[in-house]
Amino acid sequence: MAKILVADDAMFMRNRTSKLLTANGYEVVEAANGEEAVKLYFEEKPDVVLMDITMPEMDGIEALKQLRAKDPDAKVIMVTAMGQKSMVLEAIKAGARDFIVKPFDPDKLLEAVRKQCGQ
Amino acid sequence: MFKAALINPFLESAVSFLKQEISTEITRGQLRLESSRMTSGEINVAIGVTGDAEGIVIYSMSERTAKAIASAMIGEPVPVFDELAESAIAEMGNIITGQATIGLEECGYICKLSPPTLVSGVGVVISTLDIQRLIIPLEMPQGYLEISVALRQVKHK
Repeated sequence: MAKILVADDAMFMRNRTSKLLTANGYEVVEAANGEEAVKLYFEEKPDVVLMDITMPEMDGIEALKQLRAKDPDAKVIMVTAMGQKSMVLEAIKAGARDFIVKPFDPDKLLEAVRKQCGQ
Repeated sequence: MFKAALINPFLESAVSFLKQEISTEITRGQLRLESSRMTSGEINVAIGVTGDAEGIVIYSMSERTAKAIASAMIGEPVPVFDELAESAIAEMGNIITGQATIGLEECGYICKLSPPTLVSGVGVVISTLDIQRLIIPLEMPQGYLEISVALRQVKHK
């Protein structure tokens, strides 16, 4: 069973994403900010990370950079309402594998996760 | 002078989000410009904007409306406006504002957002100081939602 780390400061969004993933057979670990996401990544070693961008403590782009600095193979999909081109480019430059704009289409999110899991 | 380029992205993203998430018919009232001081609704989500346009966007509504919107987003009844419902309403503000930044960028304004802040209470007076607010009134079967866009351009277009 693939493990997914869901990093989002909004409890509502963590619940929605976790429900979708668990219903589709994934194990889910949740983080409420970037700092927690970085810590949990190395403890839990998830297969894929779904990362929000605007978060307190540490934002998603900084968390992505820290993850990729320690683990260049980290598979991180950005899931954010900030879908501007400049933001997509910044995330891709920092090593994001994919970029999904909220409110997300459940099928598209699952497809992106499956792709990163190599399924 | 309030530029249309700053308001249209909010109008479009709000209608698009509400139609997708709340599945409802939305009636837009007359847009109007108001001074900075406002007496808020019972539930308010405030999101700061920085970059080529700066200021704040406030989503204001009654608790009853907030519960109805949260219930539609969560997919379950919301008898009490609890932490999950608060999070859903804050996320509504986050997503509408986030989507609007895509439209702002297309008009040449690159902006970033602060995480949302929820302000609850009756008769709270909020001031956006020297930035006027453009009001988007939206009427839905779930209730009345008022979006105050208090932005000024930093970069001259």
